[in-house]
Amino acid sequence: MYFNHNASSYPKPNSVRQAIDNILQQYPENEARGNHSDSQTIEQCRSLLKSFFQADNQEYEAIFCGSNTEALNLCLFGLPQTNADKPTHIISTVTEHNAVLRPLWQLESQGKAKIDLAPCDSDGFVKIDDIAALIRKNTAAIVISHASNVTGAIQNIAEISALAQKNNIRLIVDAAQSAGAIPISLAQTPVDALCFCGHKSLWGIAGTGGLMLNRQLTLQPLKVGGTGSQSNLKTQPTRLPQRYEAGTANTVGIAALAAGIQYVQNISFNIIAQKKEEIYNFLWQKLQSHKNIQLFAVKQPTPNKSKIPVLNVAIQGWSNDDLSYLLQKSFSIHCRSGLHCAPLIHNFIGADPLQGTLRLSFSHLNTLDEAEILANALLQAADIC
Amino acid sequence: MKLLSSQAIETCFDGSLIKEITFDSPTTEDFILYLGQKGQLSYFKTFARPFYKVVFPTAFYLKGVEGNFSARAHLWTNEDEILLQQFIDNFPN
Repeated sequence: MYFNHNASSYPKPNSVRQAIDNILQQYPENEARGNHSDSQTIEQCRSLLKSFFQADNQEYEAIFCGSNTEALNLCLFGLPQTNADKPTHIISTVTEHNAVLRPLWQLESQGKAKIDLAPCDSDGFVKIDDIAALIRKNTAAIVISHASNVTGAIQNIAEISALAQKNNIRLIVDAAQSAGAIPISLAQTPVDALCFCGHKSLWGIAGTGGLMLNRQLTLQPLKVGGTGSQSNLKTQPTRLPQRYEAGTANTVGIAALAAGIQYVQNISFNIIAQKKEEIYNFLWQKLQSHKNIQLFAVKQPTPNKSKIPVLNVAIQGWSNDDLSYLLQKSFSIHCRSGLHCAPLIHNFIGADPLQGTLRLSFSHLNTLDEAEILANALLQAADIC
Repeated sequence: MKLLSSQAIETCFDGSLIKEITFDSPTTEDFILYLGQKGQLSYFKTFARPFYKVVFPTAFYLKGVEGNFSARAHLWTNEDEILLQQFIDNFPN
């Protein structure tokens, strides 16, 4: 049984496996480098991403990367410096994953950036006023995760986008958890860069990710090299997407990503959300009244405080690591314990800042029968304390 | 009971090391109770597959599930691993 979908979704759909098989059986498809195949996997996936995120082709380009982390690295290390003599001021939040925090801290340690982090409440929500209070004259960017990988709290990106536009600040959104889990419309909520990963709720495979980049934001490329075009130039072409996509593309991963996106489209966001909510509510009901069980999560979502269903658990007398080990080895239940690569949020949600939580994250494929086995295993562990 | 291999799987932020160790035969109740004599044993037999954890005097620990060929050790120093190896080797089969 698998309850670690926030880390990576499993099992991958047959259509994704078939797409991988198909691409491996055909002649190599290598964009702009003599395509030996009749298919246009890479460009079709680019178009699919634009339609999936409702991104106007004139405004946005889909850039492929090896992961969401790489996409965020591209955005953060590639941000144009407003003043070469002064560090760039960047606002982020305590809810962030290390994919955001570590690049920011590295920039700060190199004297290239000054970082301010907005706090969150006990459910992981960041208040717009707390972000606004951090804005300075030289603030270059706001970087924020759309949905917390720990609590599932969905930040109000529309509000933050309006704030960023009003103050002429770039907005970079980490959509690792939200892309494929909830509808995202760049037409309705414009951002400068929306970074996503392929192997979570988009149901592709590890080694894929990317960003929807507003064409008005010019970044320094993270990598330079062959693009298959303008090969006479000594410098990286300025044209998109080539500027940011040096090296042979991961066609297998991109084919899987396209199949994964179509899989989500075929099922629909409503069905996916409804199934996950059902599992979440069931577990919540089963676990919430036990005296030895502590739950950390968004309890009562309201229109302004919505969430992706994730349940964080701690059981008195058990370390989260032992609990996770017990579930896996004794019950064949896979979930994740620890800080979940988001080291700061635990201080704010009441969890142990060193131990973190046992995180249960769901997909529409989880069943209530599985949830009952999981709940009973946790209750049994809680009873023997 | 012999220790066949020991593979590092994680380095913790406090400098300790987590290793997956593999035995030549499945862990038995006798083995778990024997290890319990060397440290503080938590042994939960009511789970579908019983869980155990032994915290040894210098704070390193071994945890696992009865019947498995492997267990997980949380070690602080190289000496911890040597000591653990001695405990395992001295188990009277």
